[in-house]
Amino acid sequence: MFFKTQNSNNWIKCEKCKTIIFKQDLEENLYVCTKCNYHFVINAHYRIKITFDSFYELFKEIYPKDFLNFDDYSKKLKEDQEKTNLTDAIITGYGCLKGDINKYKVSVGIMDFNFRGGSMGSVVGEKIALISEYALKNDTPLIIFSSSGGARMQEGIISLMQMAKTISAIKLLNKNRIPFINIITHPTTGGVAASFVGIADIILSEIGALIGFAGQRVIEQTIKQKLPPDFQTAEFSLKYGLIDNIVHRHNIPNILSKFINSFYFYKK
Amino acid sequence: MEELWDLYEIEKFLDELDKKILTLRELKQKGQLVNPQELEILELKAQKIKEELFNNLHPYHRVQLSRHPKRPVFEDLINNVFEDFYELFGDRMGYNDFSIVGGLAKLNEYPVFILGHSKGKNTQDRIKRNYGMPNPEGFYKAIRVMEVANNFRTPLITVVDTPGAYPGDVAEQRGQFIAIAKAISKLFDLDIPVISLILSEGGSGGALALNVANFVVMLENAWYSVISPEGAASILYRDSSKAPLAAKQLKITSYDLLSLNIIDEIIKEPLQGAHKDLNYTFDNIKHTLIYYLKKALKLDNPKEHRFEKYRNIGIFDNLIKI
Repeated sequence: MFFKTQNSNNWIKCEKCKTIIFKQDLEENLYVCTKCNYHFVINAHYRIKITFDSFYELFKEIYPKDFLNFDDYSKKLKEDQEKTNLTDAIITGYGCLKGDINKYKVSVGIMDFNFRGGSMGSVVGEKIALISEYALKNDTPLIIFSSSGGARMQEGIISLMQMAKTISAIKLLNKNRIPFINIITHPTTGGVAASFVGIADIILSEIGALIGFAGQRVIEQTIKQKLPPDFQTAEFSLKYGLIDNIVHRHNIPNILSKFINSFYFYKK
Repeated sequence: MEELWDLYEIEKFLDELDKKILTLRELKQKGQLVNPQELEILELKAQKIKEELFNNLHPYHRVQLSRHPKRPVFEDLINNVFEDFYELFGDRMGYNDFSIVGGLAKLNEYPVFILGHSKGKNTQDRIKRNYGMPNPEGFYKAIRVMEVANNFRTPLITVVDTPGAYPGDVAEQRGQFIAIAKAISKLFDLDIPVISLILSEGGSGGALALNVANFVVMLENAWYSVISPEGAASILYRDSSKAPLAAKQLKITSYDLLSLNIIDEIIKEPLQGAHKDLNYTFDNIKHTLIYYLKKALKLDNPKEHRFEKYRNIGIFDNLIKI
């Protein structure tokens, strides 16, 4: 299953416009509402399927650990691993973008919101560091699809440090002029937005994705005002110059290919 | 849930007790004390209560001490730990965020740039400084000071004391997430040694933005966490009053962070907290900073040292290496 179904039969209700859509139509439309363009949250495996012609996973051997003995974290990890068929909230690897006639190689990280809210703990941090180093060694651009509620509470201060760690990994790419594109998918907030995402060479966002640092409830409590409905959306972020562009899910491989091809065109 | 004794109530009680002891001592000196034993018993009793309570502080007591109204703030350090401070104000982008303060100073004979969150000393000042919660402009101001320090080849000492980056609508509009990421990023660019002192509150990303350093030292009763205990409690238990429980779970005290290898040293505070003996606190801070400054100055390549240090933080299983 690639998404949260409203009911288990062949009809799915759009979470935004509430239109009932035939499941097959929705699948053919890459889980974008056929009526209102609402982008359903999709999981990492499905993202790979619709974005890459070929994909090879790397660093699957890195597993999370409940080193603080935090509440029922161990249990939750196990549940999410079974539910998502993932080891943690990110898949890393390399592949070729869909439709890229030159079949250029890109290094990739894809986060999955279904695993602990896509939160970044030691495993996400380590895998982003490893895939950056892989990109550096192989001289390939890095593409990350972010989707995260922020740093993972259950790994305490070590999670906060992953912000510094992932930034340092991207800095190595900057130093060697290896491009890094981040595609924001719904939602990307907190410590993930404020680390490697925030310093990407190019930040693109899927239609309607939420982007920001602080949570809306906290902001409303602080400023004692209601926030506008478009607050922290991709459209809001584009208006204020925080991101480079908004992309429709259908166009992502094509737009990414343009940039990847520009890099390889001049690469010796 | 365990009941916490009320730190502020106990402090009030102990202050009364100390006052009483002082009066009796004065009487004794004048030779007017009728029952000298009373003084002795009282002194012993006070010391015993203090040691019993304050040697076994709950993590949330430390959080309360870190927010104590009399707790020293960055401004106090500027005047008492450092000397000869000259402030640099602007972000060069149209704003001066008072929640961040930076400039050139001296630590004994060493010129250093200092940069920290500024909470303010009185209500008016606290409002002006937004209680130490920076907007994006504050982080851009911090980046400026980092760059200047680097160009002057002078070490940077950062002082962390913030509940967190300001959670405001305009802050978001101006890209709080980008500003924080850029400040962290800038600290990796610097060729100079960076030392960071966690003074009181280390609230999440807003704290980390000044904290990427070769060496990190921390006051005994300061806290540093991925999320405030109140924030964690409201997410985990849907009840922010369970903050003490969250504080314990999150492992946010100086002792926790030392055992997790996130800090290099704990700076001791007086038994009842830093504000009870300011000179003792300032002396300890000063000696520790000088020690780590000397150590950092000996590093061959402080920049490389930071890269390596942060690259290796993380606790996980590697199935191939097991």
